[in-house]
Amino acid sequence: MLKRRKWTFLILAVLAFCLATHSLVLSWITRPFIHRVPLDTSRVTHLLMRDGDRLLETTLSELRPGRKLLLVRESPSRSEQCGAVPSEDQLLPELLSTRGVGPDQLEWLPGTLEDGESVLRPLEDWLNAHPNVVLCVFVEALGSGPLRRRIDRRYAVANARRVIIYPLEPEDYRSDRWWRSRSGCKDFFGQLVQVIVRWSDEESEIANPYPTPQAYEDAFKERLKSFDVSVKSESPTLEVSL
Amino acid sequence: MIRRVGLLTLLLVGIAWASHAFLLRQAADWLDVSDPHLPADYLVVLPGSNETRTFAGVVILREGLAKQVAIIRNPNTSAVNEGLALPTHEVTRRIFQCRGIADERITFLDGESRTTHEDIRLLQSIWDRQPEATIIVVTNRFHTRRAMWAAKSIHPNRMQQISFIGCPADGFEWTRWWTSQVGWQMIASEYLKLGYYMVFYSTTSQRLGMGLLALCIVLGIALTFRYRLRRRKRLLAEAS
Repeated sequence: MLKRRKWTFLILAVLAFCLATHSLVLSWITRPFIHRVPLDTSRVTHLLMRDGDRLLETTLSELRPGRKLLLVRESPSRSEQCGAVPSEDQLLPELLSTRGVGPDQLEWLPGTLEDGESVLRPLEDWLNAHPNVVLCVFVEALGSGPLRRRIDRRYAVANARRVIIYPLEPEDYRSDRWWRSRSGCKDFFGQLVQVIVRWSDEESEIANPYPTPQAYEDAFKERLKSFDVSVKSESPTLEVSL
Repeated sequence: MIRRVGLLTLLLVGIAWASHAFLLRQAADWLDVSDPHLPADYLVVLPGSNETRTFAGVVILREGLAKQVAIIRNPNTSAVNEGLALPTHEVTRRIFQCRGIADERITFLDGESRTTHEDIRLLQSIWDRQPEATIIVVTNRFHTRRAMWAAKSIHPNRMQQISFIGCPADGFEWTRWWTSQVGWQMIASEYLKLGYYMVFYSTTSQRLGMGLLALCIVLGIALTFRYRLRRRKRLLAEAS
């Protein structure tokens, strides 16, 4: 009887301890995910937009005279290939021009990124070719720590020092208190998975080529056939809207 | 005793290593519960991967395996609000149009959704208009089990009217998913998401079933430990 009571007290004490310290523990876990250092953007010559909330707004506020926006050309997605959405190469310069950013303030990173390829590799070459630039990269707050570490690990010290990571705070939660909101949990979880899966390999390799819209549809037709669904073999025709 | 445990561990590690490809393939296959009942009245493409799911949906519509497509709306993201991207449902609609699907066959579901659970909940609006309608849901292969889990808990009486088909995801090969980062990201995280769904989005009977299973496992472990402890004590007593 006494033993059972002791165990109950012990479990309750552990639960109370967890409840009392969960905030502290989660903060400690979160620390490496957020790159928090005083930002000195005075030396910045180029800005690179990656992801995060208020990305455009923050970039435009930092785009002062003499600074350039570095743009990355990515291989067209399937929806771009079939003309459903404008390509980012067109969309972004157009959008920026409506916000007063001239073409002289834009600079393209040479080459085209394949799907799944990290921007770090071409960026390193670009930094080597431009020894005087200082680049500011905008990235979502919870992804800023891992990105900083990847850059520090991968780049030469002189190059890594020339890259400033600018963490963008999410709109609907505080990044250092992510566990208080569902979207925060989702974002943190996503970042955690990325950190875990990256442990073995720095670069995401392309496991299989990205088929074109038609090739993808043909492959899916084959999959339908495997379920004994009868499909036509002739090429697609456009339907006429009434 | 230690030697026996060591040998058993080595044996288990050896078997796991030798059959890891088979086991990991099975782990991915378990997530795919595709069983399409075609033709259907409505096609619903779950938002989340326009680059794959929508193109699979195009095939189903083009082949006449579904009469209409009902598109689910998502709330605007920050990128959409800033003009950096188009809303997901708009991209879906445009893909259908560009791939030759007539406008009359494209409709939008009422309401907006953020999660798979909410996506499946929105299907009710189809049955509100047409109670006998059959629906084919297109999503990625690894996502079909979670989608079906959500459907079973939200529309348990409609399971005869709804079926799922999984389409291939980009960036990794299904039969060798563990060799790619994207594969890990998709398959491993799907298991965690599925666990979340099982805890938070279950029906009472599903919860009871899982609770019973968990109880059996815990009891089994506890009884084994008790048995071993008693045996050890007895052996010690006999020895002394």
